[in-house]
Amino acid sequence: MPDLRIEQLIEKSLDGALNDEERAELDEHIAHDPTLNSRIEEDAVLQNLLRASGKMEFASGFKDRVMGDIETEAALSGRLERAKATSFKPFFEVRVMRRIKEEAAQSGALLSFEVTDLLSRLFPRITVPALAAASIAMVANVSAASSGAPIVDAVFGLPSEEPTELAMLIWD
Amino acid sequence: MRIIDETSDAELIAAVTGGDAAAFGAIVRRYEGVVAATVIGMLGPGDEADEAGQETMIKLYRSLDRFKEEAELKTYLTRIAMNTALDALRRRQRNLKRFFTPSTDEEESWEEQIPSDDDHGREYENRQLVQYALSGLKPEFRSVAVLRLMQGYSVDEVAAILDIAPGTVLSRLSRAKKQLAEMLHKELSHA
Repeated sequence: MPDLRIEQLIEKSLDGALNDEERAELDEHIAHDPTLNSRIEEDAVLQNLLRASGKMEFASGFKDRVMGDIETEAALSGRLERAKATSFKPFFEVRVMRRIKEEAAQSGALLSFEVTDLLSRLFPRITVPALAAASIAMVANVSAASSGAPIVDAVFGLPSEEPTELAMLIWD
Repeated sequence: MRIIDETSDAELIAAVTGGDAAAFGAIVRRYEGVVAATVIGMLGPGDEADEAGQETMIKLYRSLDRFKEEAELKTYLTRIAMNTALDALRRRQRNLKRFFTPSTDEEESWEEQIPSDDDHGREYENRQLVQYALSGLKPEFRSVAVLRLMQGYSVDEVAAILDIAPGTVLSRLSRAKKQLAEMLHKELSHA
């Protein structure tokens, strides 16, 4: 584990950024450990070597490639913005239907959805009598039911028939 | 050209965020070298570095409206470039792991494997030699070496770019220098 204070002083020394106090502190470390001096020299050589090789560049036309990408992206985002502009706020359909209903109520016209509304309100009233009628029919045909006829035949009083060959083939 | 060169970063940024996409071209031209030094230093020259450079610039373009003027654009851009290069290195390592049988020494990544003399020959140019030595460092050490030794950022700036403590920068730098010196000595003594 390196002594971070010495490392800090070495880095500052390489940058030429030591103040007098820090310079004296580093000198004191060097006096105790003379290898530090050669270490600083080696670090300077390494830094110069790397810095000299640091002037790297992309293949020519880099700016044009970037700007091409950006133009493509801008065109795409423009398309997205336009797409956003053609979509509506939520519950658009509900709002439209409410307005149609309001207009229909004002004009007094009977629209198809009002017929549907009417039927859905009548349905509970129709269902109970229909079930009662079915029960009566089943009781009336109870003999047929007890004779082993299918329950649907019994309920609706249909004559019991032997299954045809085709029906048996399908059943199998 | 002169007018653009004399325009400050803040003015260029204002022009771009105001809808002048062409002003971004001036920013690209101004900082192309900074981005190249970072991504080529990290990835080596080639298409991968070029793509990372483009990605860096596009990320900058997308985030310019969030850029705070108290930060320096060069430092901000270097941070984006470094993160993009590190992502590319991770992708590279994942792909290599997918296609090659892992080494018997699991600690040793492909980046750490030093090719034989036959692979590289002894006619290294200075840049190639440095690039080769850098490629032997793990990404966390390489990033510190590229920023501090190649690009000349101060320890505090490196800490800010990498979002790590200055003490961590110093200890990674010390280790990176030691490894680089060993590799360079070895290569130069063979030359």
